[in-house]
Amino acid sequence: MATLDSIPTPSCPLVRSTSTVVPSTETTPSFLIDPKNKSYKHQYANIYFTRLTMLRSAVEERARARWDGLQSEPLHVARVLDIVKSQLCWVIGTVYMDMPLKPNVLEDIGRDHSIPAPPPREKFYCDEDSVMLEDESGRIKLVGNRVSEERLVTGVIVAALGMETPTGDFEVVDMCTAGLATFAEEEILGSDAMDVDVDFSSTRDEYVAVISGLSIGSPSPADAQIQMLVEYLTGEAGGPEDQQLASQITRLIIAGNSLSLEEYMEEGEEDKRPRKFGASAQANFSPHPNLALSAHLHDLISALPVHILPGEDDPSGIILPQQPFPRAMFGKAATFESFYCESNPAWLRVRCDETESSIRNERRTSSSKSNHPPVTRSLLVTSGQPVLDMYKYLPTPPSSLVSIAASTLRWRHVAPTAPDTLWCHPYRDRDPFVLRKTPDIYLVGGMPKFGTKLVGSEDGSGRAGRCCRIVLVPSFSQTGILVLVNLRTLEVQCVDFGVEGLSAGGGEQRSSGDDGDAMAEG
Amino acid sequence: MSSTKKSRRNNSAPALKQGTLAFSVKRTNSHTTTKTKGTLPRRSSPLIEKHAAEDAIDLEINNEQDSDAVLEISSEEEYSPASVKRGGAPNATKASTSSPAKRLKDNPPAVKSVGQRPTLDVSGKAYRKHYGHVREKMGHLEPIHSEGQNRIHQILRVFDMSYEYGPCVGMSRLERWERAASFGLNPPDEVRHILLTEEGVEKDEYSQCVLYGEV
Repeated sequence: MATLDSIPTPSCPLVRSTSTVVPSTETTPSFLIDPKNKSYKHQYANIYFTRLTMLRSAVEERARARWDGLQSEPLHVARVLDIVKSQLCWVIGTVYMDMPLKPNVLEDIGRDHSIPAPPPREKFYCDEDSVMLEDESGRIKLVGNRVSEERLVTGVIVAALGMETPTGDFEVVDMCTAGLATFAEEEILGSDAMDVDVDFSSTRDEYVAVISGLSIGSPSPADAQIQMLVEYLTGEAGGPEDQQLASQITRLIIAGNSLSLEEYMEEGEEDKRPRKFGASAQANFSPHPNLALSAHLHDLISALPVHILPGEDDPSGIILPQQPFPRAMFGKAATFESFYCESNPAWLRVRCDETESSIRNERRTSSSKSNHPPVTRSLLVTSGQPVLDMYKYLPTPPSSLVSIAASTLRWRHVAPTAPDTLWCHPYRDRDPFVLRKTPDIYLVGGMPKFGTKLVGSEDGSGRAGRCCRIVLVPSFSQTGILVLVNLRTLEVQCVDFGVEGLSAGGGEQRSSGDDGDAMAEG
Repeated sequence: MSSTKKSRRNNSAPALKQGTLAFSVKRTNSHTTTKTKGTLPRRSSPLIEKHAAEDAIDLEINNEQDSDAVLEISSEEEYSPASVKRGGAPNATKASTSSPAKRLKDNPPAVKSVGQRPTLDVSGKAYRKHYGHVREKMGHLEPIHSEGQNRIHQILRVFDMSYEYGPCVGMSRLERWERAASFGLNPPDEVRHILLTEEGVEKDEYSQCVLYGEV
């Protein structure tokens, strides 16, 4: 009788790596709204004015660098209405897309109320769209093929080089945007630790886990997968390699849509009321989804720090930036200090601590410490509403969700469509969505599929400079994917949870984009 | 500086032997109350002196409030039965019937905040240069329907309607000025000076934008 091999156990118990949240500096964007700023009597014109003023100088600098050396010597005009006929000139302004298919409040008021409203469209673009450039003095219409190549949405600050046509439109030859801002965190010096002790250094990477779209409380819940996820993150599930990887996860970010908006169908109710302009359908209130979510969070928080962001389906208010959940909503989980309720969008600064050797055999020398210097990363997390809103403006075979997210970094603005089609708080003094610094990692939740990309500055070589990692986190209830982002090397891994016979997850997930490798474990 | 006159009076006031304090009373409005002739406004004193056995203490009242903003301190009014007097001239104290109660009644509110704001001089020379710029911006045209509007109104209205500082609706002029300054747009300093004067803060026609109450 063959004896069974003993189960391999690690020589010493695994310890979870830690990371800390670094307090924000004064240049860190803050999306919290003070009680004294909660007035709604301001008009949205203030946001457009502050956005143009904040980004104008950056666009001007870049446009000058690009166009000043040209032979035809284009002229810079200060006001949009001052463009000179029959001379090449360039001007800076805000883009406005005039689209007849956009939801229009006047049409809604004028509609005959006995007829039910048409369902909201998936895409707004059509052939009669026109692109305008606006500033404080007026607006002009932009024509030309270059404009449609640029794939603009409302609210982007651009510089346009061109000439005025006889009909009064502006024919565009070239366009220039603000480009990537300087990176928020300093460059990591001595980050080439890969050449020394590959087997040790590869085991000591720190990851941040990101999840989105748990949708607890929906009629077809992914409860089994969520349970597996919780067990994986706390280190209870899987074999030694899984536990090894799970021990390197330092924190979990839940990027929105944790609760579900769908009604729990009672008997007889079949039709779902159509939504109007993003107003939520009336949900039958049932406390159980919240209790289930709190129970899962309590299990998770006792193992690792958790940040939770509100999303489109969550009970937090429809206008951006959504304010953090009240901690009292989560019962026992709220008693933990490492449980953070964040606004949507949120800017986090996370630092991986200096790793100390947990393997007792290894002699602690100063050289092993210098392999892993503390590294601070800035993460910008949103629950996906800005990107999904911009998705409606653009035809998606040339554009994709990843390219839209990359464009927002180049435009230096998280949500350019904000007051136009995306509901936004009326700010008076500043536009908090302007990115004055670029984050290292940009996480977008609530997406239909996983995607990732590295975005570097356009001037000079593509990848030699610093890059920002964009990660599109898919909805867990549909795909069962957990995304792990390496804080030191900015690589991305996926962990796929699936149960045979159940719909969500466990399928053949192919990750698209560069440098992402998917590790599927069913 | 306080120059308190200790005038012995032999009239009615009962023998209040309690020492009294000399302190300054600030008046915010220049109503001339019990003035007899020859009243000279004098500077108020920050010093508090204690006087023994005194009936009449002359207090100095500053009737004009311009250009002295820096040195004033807040003073409290004490309704002591000791003779609190106003009026610079000694003969104002003649009326013995001006009992303490009466004096207390028409004492002006004396609490004054620190850093008193200057008054707005509508036709003064301070804003002449800026007014010249404003007229130039308006093309040297006379403003239409401008009955009852002085130069200050014109300066502030042109500030409101300058689009380079952003929309003017929904906020006070000072808030808009601060916002423009924080963005580095260099709004004119004279406007800020006007907005921080006494009238500039208290009157809506100066502190709020032209469209206030209409939009």
